[in-house]
Amino acid sequence: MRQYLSKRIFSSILAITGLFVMVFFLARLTGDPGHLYLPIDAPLEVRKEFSEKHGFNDPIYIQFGKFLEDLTDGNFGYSLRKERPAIDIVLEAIPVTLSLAAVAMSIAVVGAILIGSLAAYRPNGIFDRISRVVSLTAASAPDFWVAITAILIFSVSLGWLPTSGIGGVPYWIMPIGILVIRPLGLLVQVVRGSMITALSSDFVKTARAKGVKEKVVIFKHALRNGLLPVITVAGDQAAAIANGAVIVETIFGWPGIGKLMIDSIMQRDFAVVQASILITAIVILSINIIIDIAYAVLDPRIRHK
Amino acid sequence: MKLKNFSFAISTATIMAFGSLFSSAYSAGKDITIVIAEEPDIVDPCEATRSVVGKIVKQNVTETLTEINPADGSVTPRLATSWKQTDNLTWEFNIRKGIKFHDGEDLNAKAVVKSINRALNPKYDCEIRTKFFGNIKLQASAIGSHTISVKTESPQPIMPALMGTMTVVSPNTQEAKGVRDPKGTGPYLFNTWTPGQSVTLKRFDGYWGDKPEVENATYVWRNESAVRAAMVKTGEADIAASIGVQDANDPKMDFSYFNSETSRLRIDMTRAPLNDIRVRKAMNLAIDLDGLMGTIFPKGVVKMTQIVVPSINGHNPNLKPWPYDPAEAKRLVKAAKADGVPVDKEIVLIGRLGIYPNSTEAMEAMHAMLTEVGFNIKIKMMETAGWLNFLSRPYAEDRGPALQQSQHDNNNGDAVFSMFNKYACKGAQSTTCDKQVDAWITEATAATGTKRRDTWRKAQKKLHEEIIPDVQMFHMVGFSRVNPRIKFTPTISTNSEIQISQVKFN
Amino acid sequence: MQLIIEKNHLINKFRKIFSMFMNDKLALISIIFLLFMVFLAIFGPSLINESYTKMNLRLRNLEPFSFDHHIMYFFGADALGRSMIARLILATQNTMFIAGSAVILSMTLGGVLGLISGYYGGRTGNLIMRMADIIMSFPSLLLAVIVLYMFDPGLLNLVIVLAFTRMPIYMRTARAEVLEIRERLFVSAAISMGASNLRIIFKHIAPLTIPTLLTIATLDFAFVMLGESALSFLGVGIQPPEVTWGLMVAQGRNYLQIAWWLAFFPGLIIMSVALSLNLLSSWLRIVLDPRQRWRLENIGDKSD
Repeated sequence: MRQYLSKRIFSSILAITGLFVMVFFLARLTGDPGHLYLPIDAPLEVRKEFSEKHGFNDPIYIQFGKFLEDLTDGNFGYSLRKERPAIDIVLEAIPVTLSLAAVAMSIAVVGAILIGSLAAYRPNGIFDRISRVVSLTAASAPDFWVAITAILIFSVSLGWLPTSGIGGVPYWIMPIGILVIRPLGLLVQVVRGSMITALSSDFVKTARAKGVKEKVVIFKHALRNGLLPVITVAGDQAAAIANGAVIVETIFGWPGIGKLMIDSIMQRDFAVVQASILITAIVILSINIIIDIAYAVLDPRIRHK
Repeated sequence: MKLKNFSFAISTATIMAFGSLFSSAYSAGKDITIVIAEEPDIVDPCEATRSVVGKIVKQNVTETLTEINPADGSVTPRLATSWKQTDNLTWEFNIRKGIKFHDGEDLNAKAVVKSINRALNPKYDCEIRTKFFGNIKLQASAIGSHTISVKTESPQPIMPALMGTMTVVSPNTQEAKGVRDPKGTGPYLFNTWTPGQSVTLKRFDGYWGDKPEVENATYVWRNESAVRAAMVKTGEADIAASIGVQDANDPKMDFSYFNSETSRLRIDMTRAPLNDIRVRKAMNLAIDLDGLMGTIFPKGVVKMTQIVVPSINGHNPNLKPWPYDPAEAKRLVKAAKADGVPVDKEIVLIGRLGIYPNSTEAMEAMHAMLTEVGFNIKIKMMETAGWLNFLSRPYAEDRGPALQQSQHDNNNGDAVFSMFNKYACKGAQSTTCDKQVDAWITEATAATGTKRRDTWRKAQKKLHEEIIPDVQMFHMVGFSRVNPRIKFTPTISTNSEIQISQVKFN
Repeated sequence: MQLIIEKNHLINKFRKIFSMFMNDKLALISIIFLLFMVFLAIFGPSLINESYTKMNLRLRNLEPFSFDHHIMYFFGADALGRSMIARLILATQNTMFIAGSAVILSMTLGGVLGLISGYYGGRTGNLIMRMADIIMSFPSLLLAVIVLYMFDPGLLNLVIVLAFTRMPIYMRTARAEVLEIRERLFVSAAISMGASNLRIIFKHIAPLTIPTLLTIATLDFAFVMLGESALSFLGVGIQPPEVTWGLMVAQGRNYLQIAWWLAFFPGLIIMSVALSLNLLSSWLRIVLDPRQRWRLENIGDKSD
């Protein structure tokens, strides 16, 4: 296990490095930030002076070298726009997105287990059919469209919820709701599928034959095995939920990492782009490693090795 | 193990959510909430010319020496009480006495000079410098306890107007750009800034002017226009600055006003077939501006005849907008073609996403109308950075013929802020070069009074009638939504500043 | 004689598939709907009169469900007064093309890379899987935004970007399948008989992985459509005058309050297509799984 883990961490570091180098060069190919930063009417001399001062005129590999030099001092660079260390800005934004994602994923997983198990109990039964169509329909709608429609209905027309912003529970309902929809729809299908397999497996049949109570059969024997694929899929959704966060944070005005990344890419604030990509990748890969461990802990076949 | 994980995640989330349950965002009493479109990335007053910074700090936290009256472009006193030109290159400003900064420092000549030098320090790229003083060599010095002199290398007849952009900060302000708690002389103290969430201002009791009604002002930001409009409707905010025309559907709370922006398609006159005047004429005749008004563009827009709006010194009121005459346009295209002008060549229409509400639909409409009279147009919508690559010099040598959607904002009182950059041979975004116009621009820049005004007018007339460097569109209007519980009338300057001291309660 | 048997065999096969559709009504409706969409995508644009896709500001934001205008305006008109129906049909072709090519491209590339990685293992195999990790460790939407800022958001680039971001799933799945298949007897037999590696991969292993990959691909088609529309929301999707359902939703969102139909109809179609694909994919999964196929083969046993 330990050996596996260290191998996994090593390869993750490799992946992050690869991603990072790729983004560094890609981002710089998207244009000189000076154009965006300076007012349209700025004289040519000011433009030239600006690009020189910030080293945007240097060849990319020299810029990369400079960046590495700074990085060895633990310096992620300085935000061109915000006049602050990029890493500070990123560390402010990460908790917002993490809490959004954690709540959304918890609800999605718990909800999927409940709905999926119930659906699997009688495949093709009425509940199965309804839950399948509803969850898939919800997961198939463009999220930004759902978000704006929800604001118009629940805030403007009905006045039940605040339109946007950060605050108490009412402020969380719509953003979380939007974020939950897609992983929930997907996970319900996964739970359903694996539960059907688990419920028709030999050991469940044996348990039933032994006269074990139905509840125990479902929730102890079947669920335990049925959960394994859920964990894998939930892990893959970690990156996907970051996609959703970009949209949700943009619309609801949450100062999370998704919005920060989009804004800094649009503004060509490279230091912030780099820092946020690095940190996000680390978070996502850590989650994947944790999931691997959880998988090993839960899977009897691996556990008993 | 798995249960523990779950319960941990859920309990953390619950604590986070409930922790802030009782914080209310609804504004009440003598406090107001303003929702703007973008998050301020910086609040340094030396960037106050940027609209997102200006809306927060300009004339609220920090004041300027002079103020430009949005209605007619005239210059009125603010921190300076009077000014005079002592010679061709020198101006003197008398500073108001008995004013204190928020941190207790006195406002005097020294403080003003320090503030000017800070904003113009070439080490930092303050926008006041890069936008307005980029090629002006300026020397400010204190010549009395409350008098400063400003010397320049070339004559600057509009120095008082330029000083309307110069925010004055406390002498204790850090030298480098990026101050996070700006201190000025304005009616409001910069109170808190929670990055990503809000900025709050608090009434300054030691303010030299009239005591404003609003006690606290909170700024929040939301990208989507629909959300901003909804926030005022539901009472979560009191002012929603700049909402889209489709969201301004409640006449009781929505205001429309000229926003000093002028919208056009810039024609790259250096490339065939756009170098032929018949082609440029045909393009203007092809556009059904009346059809666009009240549909894709709001009802209140005015057809442009020149780059500056009527309230700007140098606007020529005698010019007539282009009529809609597709038949004549087709005839001109045909005539040009007969003379060997390559009118079939693909012309790229470079648009910018979100430059104004419905900007994409507007370009689709222009595309349709230009195609109708026989041009071969290809739309290319770009985000800001990409679009800027095409807008300013140096232009790519291998570029093809292009029209560029652009919008120009001049609410600084004088045509000088527009004419050189847009139409002079060396102007940063100019694609035209006419000796006569160039001479007039130089002449007007150094002139004063009616001579200045008339020279600008001559240049406008020639551009409009003989050069035709633009497909002319509109002087634009903006929309803001204001909660009926307050009295506040958005004006042409709401784009760049929101003076909270003008807000009254009903 | 031989021919007749084969023909009968083919007919039987079709009959079987058909009856399996009949036993899952939702899947049947889905496939009919999808076939209709494919028909629209291929022939639709040539069927509609150009006048309905031309700007007509008098009909701007025309309300749907009125009979005062031509039937083409039954779903209303958009912000430029173009018939919604005509626009939706035009968009079908682009959307289907983008999503279809992106899915095929990522399935082929991802599948082949996964096959190679699984078959050869070792350093090459690991390198390929690290590539998948890189792509997976980052929100695909942002990657797409960066790339599309660099290059034009034209049709082709959009397809490449979308394909690229969806590749890891195919790489991983193909690899996992290969790892399992490689151990089977016939592969060892082929190896011992001296078949070349390429021949083993593409002749013996690849065909076995295709059903799984196809199942994923049907689902992915929906994701790609939604991804494309999210890109349009962020302004880097396909650019006018080209049109996709995603772009229509993104543009229509500005009009939700005054003209809901601009975003609603394309949104509804995206949802219906995605739903149909989902239903079809779960039907496929059952059909391709020998342990579950009986569910669709025997009508009598449905009540399990």
